[in-house]
Amino acid sequence: MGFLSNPKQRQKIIDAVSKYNNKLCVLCYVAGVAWFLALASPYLNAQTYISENALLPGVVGNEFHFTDFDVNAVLKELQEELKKDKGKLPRDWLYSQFRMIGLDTYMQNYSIKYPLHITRGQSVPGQNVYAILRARRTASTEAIVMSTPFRPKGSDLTQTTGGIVLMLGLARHFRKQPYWSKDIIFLVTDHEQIGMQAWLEGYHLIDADYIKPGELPGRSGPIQAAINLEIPSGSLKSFDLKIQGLNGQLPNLDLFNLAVKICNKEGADVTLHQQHNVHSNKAWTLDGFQHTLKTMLKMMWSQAMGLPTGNHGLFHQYHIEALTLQGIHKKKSGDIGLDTTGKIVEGIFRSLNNLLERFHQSFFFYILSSTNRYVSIGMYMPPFGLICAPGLIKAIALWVGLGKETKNKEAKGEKGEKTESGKEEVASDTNDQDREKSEEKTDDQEAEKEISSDEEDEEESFHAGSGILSTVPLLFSSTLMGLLCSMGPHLLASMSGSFRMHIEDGIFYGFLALFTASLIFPKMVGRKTSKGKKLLFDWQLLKCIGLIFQSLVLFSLSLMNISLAFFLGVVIIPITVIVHPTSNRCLLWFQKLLLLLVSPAVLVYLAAMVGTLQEEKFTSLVTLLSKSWANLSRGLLLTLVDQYFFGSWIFIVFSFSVLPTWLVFWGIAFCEPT
Amino acid sequence: MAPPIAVAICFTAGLILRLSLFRTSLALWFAEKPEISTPVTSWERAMEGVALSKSMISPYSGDLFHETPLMLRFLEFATRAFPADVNYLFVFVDMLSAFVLLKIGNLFARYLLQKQVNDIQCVSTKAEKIIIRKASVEDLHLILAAAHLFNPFSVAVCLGKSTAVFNNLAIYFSFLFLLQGNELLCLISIAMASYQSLYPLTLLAPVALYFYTVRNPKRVTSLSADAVNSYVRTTVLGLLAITGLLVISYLLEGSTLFLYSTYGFTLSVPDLTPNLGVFWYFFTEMFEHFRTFFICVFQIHAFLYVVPLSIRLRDHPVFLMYILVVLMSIFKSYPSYADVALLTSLLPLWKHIFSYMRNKFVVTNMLVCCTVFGPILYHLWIYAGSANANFYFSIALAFSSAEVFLATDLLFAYLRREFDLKHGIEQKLENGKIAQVILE
Repeated sequence: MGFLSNPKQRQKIIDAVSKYNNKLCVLCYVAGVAWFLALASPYLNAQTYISENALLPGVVGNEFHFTDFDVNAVLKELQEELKKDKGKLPRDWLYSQFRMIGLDTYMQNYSIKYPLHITRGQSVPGQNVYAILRARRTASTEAIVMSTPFRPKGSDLTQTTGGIVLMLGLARHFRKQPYWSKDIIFLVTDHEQIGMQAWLEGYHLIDADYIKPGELPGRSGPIQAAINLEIPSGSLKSFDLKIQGLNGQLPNLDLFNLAVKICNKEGADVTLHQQHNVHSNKAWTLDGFQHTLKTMLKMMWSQAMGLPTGNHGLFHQYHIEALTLQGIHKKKSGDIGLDTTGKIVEGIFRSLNNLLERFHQSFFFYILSSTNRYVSIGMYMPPFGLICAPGLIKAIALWVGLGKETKNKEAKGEKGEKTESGKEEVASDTNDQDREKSEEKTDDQEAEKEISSDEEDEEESFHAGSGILSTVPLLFSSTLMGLLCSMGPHLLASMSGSFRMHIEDGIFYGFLALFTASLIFPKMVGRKTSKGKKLLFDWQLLKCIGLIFQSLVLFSLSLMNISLAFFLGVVIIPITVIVHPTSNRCLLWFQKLLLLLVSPAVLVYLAAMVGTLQEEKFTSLVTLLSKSWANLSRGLLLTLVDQYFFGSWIFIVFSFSVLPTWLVFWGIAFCEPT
Repeated sequence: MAPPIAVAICFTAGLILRLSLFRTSLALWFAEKPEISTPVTSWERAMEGVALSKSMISPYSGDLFHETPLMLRFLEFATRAFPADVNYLFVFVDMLSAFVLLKIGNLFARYLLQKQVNDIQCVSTKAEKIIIRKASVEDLHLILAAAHLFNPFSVAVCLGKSTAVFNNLAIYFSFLFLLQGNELLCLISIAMASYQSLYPLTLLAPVALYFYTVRNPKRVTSLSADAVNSYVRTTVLGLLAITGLLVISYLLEGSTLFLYSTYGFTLSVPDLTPNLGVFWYFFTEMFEHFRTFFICVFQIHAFLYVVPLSIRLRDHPVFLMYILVVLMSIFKSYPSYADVALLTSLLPLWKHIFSYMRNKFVVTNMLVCCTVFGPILYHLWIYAGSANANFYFSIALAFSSAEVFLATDLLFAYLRREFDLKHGIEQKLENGKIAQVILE
């Protein structure tokens, strides 16, 4: 442990860090970002492979075809049923169809109570239909799910009638086969993701606050895997695989590889975010790299949003691997019929049927740059670490600087210290009282508190007056803002009724107000000095704590959702590392502008803008800005609703870690320069 | 002296903090954390035991309940007396601990100054700067109490209703009575703590050393016949107290079955539920026929260091006692945040040596990171299924390493200060350069 016990060796490292810290920071950041982006190139990533031998993909011939089943007739029947009553789904028809095939068919009745008084406390009913094919060879100890969302005629989303008819055909075919060793559950859900969540909660006997799942009449064993189908009627051009789940969780890479392999075997095109693979000749060229980079960034962006891209995304939280197979229908082109699609699904299910244990081989943490190249956690963590390194290097440099300063001051004399310590004591009491209120619910908060309380013990090693206690008011007020932000939605929603405001607007403008308030807060905690109001904190220590906390947040995030951590890190790290109080006005205003650009509100707006750009073509800046504005307020509400319905933690992360950290840095810009 | 109003504010704030957090869902969340609820401290298991004994089944016949018989009786009484609000019991114990710490702070400040006066002959004239002044220790009691009341670890342990808080309270009491010089009560507190969790037995060593110096302030050597007599006397008294408790338990229980469920369970580590320590991971991978050997190897660590440390720190029994508390939390078979809370709450006792510590930045960061990463990796492993045991174990290992660094750093800092006291602050080499102490 040379570093910990040998002061000479350590001094060398420390000297190097404190001398070259600025250059090191720039170098690390640039190298990190470049390296991370370069991961899209085939030189740095790897070819996918099936790691779980038991899957044996594509070993058996797929024999599915619609026997004694007139597809077009059933499809027509279904469409007529849908037309009968717009907005209502023909569940009874579906129920009788499954019954006719001879499966254990059930209906689940659930009710949804929307949070935030969206429906004024009334609950919305919903129904899921599901049928269980009992495996002949086992006693219902394991199950696989085939699901499809049921969409009413007037829905904005593409119809999934093809998927439903295919499911009926497959059920008929599967029932005759002797080889099933896992139950197969055919599930048709209502209300998109909410219906799926209701079914999963019912299946796992979870009682939630907002979705009341009711009781499931029939059940099978633990679910091993799930395939969600979104297949329109008519012939398809290609398949798109959707994998991102809630909070950016991904299914096991083996499942994805399996689906890709079976699609390829049947000669169907398979894409990721509608991006085709580059041809193998072009893969090693610059053009090829640009294409794979685009695919990778699209995949990461969608993961960073933390919203499930399809119904499969909700399975992940129950430790069930799942993905969505979406059929892409284009006018004129396309030759993949329902028969072929059926063969693909059959192939996937026969492989899943072979599974001996849960998916555990292969990767859970990966990034995809095309359907056959992947970047594993071991490959992306080093560049990510480099991106985050500037924060840590700067923090160490600041800490070392603080140590030197203290020594110099101590040398000057101790008289001042004694008189100041008395004052500090009084300050500590009031701070303690304050801190009690700031006790928060998340780990991050705990951690931050701990930084302050742990280091409080060390306060004596600092010069009194500039010690850790002086930073407590700012840390406290920024956590308080985080707390307010997290509790905001409930308060705002209950208030917006009395202002006769739309709830969406109420929450949106409430947050804007909160954000504006937090912008002014450095003025409020500031103390008067000779040069007007400035914050009298030990900004170096504050920045040190802020940077360490920020790195902690980013690394924690990177374990759960690397994409979110990457995008956040790339944007905020350079600016937070630069920020320091200065007496140069231009520089100060420039810094404040930069800080504003990376404030949570602007970040969210930028994200909405990127989202809008992805949805539609760019026409003019004004329409883009206004559309993003509208998207932002809708997206905010959706994120909140997701938090209540599914347990998404994006909002919590923003309010408890991103906002307080940012506020600390915002406060530093208002500090007195030393 | 810090004004009493400050103390009052601290206590009310701590009280409100705990009571208000008990009303949130945080309490339930903490109760499920493997870092807080180990098999020996879990409140759920304790309640199971109470329920079993209510239905006239001995809780010790199964392998679920690991509290001692006296604790069982106490919990039975507590749950009967306040069935709805057992939470208050835990808040009360925490407040009591804070109160004891307040007292410890006062006594310890006096002890430090007294000790300095006693050893004044050995102090170099050049060491004036590092001499402890009255002003610098007079608010020690407030800092200690605050370090407990606002310690995230103690708050979490209190919210998680870990039964280790009683054990911690007993250890705080033993510090208190030690500093008060009340040998009997001190030994009884240690006996209570050891009765609860076995490992505090090691604390008998510093106590024996301390009371010998109290009895013979002007002793010449610490190995005379007198000294040995005194050590033996203290140790025997302590062991008698523990035996007394065990005999009472036997009489209450009517069988020795409880011995295996409590001490046997602690020593042989049959439950390998993940926790902060290193035992669980190591023994899941162990071939069965090596198990006994390695159990001995692991357990011996908790007791082995008593001997060398007692010899080196024989003149500093209170510091020895603290270091043993830290070692206990590193090497015990089912460590939890309760042990971390204990050592962090007592840490401010040594604030006069903090400036000699060299790794506080590293150690603090390690502890903070592990505390945050622990639950995340546990979630990824157990709930999301995407990580595995290695991820969580690496954090447990890093946490233990951080504690080891803390212990070694404290030891180094303490001895370094002693050295400086004896030889003056600035040592010059023969060529006139300032010397530097290196530990290699």
